[in-house]
Amino acid sequence: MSLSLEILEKAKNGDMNAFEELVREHQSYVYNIIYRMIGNKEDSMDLLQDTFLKAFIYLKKFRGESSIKTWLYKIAYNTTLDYIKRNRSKDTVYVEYIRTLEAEDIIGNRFIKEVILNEIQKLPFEYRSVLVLRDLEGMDYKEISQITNLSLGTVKSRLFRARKILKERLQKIPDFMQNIGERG
Amino acid sequence: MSCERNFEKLNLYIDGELDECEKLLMEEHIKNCERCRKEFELLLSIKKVLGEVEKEEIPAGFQVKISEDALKGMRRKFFLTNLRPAVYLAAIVFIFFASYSILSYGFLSKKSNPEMKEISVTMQAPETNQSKEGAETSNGPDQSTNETKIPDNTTNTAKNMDKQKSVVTDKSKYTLFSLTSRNSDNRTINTTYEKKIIRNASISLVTYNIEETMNKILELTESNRGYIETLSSYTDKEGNDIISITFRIPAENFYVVLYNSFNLKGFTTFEEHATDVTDEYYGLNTQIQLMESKKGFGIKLPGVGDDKSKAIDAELNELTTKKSQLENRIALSTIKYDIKKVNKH
Repeated sequence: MSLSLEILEKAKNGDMNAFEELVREHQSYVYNIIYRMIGNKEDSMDLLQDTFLKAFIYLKKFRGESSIKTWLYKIAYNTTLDYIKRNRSKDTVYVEYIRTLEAEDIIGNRFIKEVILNEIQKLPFEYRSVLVLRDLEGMDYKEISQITNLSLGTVKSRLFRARKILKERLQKIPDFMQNIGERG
Repeated sequence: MSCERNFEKLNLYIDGELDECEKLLMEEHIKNCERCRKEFELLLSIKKVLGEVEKEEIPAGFQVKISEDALKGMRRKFFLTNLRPAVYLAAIVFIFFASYSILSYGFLSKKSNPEMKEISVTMQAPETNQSKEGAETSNGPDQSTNETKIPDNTTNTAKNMDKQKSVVTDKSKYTLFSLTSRNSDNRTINTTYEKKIIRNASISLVTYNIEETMNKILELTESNRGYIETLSSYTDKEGNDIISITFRIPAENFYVVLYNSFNLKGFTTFEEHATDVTDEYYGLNTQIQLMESKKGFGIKLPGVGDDKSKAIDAELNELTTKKSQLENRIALSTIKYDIKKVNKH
């Protein structure tokens, strides 16, 4: 039995130290996905806490049908979805990317990344979430479908719509697409 | 295949989700179609940028804590979230049965069925009980024992359910009568209007530990986005300290708070009032619309009508303020808790 599986088994049996180990191992990517989906650090920390509390409560029910990573992503996604439903008004809040940028940043990658990330934050949650899972987390369609509980067809169409809206919005920024093109 | 339709497949191609055959066809198409090639390059460059985005680090010093308190809080949250659909379901079932009983009553009354008499007798019965109860209370508490007892919640709940039932039966009786009178007047109810109801409740509790009870109430109301409107304390004739707190609770959470309050230790009685302000609300709306149209179509003649326009503005302001005050009372229900502290004997 690998070390991770051993820790998982111990945590399932209520070993708090093993669960803490599990948290340490997985918290960074769970936080990342939540943050990319809501764009707010403070609320992301709260949701990360809630995700692991739920994981602790339901760990006994985890049967290993998917990887522990996918299972945690699923809890994080559902926790974030509940948060978005509760705070509909907050869904439109996006990260302010216009902050002090050095001259080379404006021409360079950092600016391009920040603008794209900011535009992603402005997308409705159903599009933003699949785009984050696919393009930022690099998951395949099947995994996205498992995490979001959506059919493969819906995942495909949401991704297509998300990219279409994103592209249209980026095209409205003068010279931006040209910059990306030159860079690519 | 049109290029627009091809764009959807282009996404699948970029994500490596096409089978071998479709992949080859797509590669061939991209080579020959400039429009699709441009779209492909554009999507690919966005995807590439996103693939290079660094992971967002957890802020320094933050640590996930799995404490007993945090778990308790989470379980409570789960309970409330799960309870909400149950409350909605109960409301739907109640509405269904209420409508059914109203319809059957109306049907029976038209046919002047002799059973109707029986029904009215059954409805009167709880009122008699209630009046008996009222008489008992007016006589004051049992003088044989001076000790005030903290009510046992399990037996109390049954008692309260009875009380609740009697209140509900009373209400349904009034509803039946008012509907009958409406029917006899041949008036119709406009069902497109959403009912506007102001809900208030008052709850009495008796406790040995006032701080503990207060904390429980605060926990319950805060988790349902309530806030304290007034807080006062006084001593009653028997020398018991009483704390009176009024909370404003979002109307959608009113019943969650109310029903959960029944489980609080020391819960004794509750009273619920619902005031239907539908007519008042839509009346105000119509008046506002009327004033606005008056304002909009007002023809201004030099030197004439300035005062009239000011009067319209003032009236419009007054109506809008009234409407927003009413909306506020509808959106935020009131729950008043009277907590009596008694000493252990």
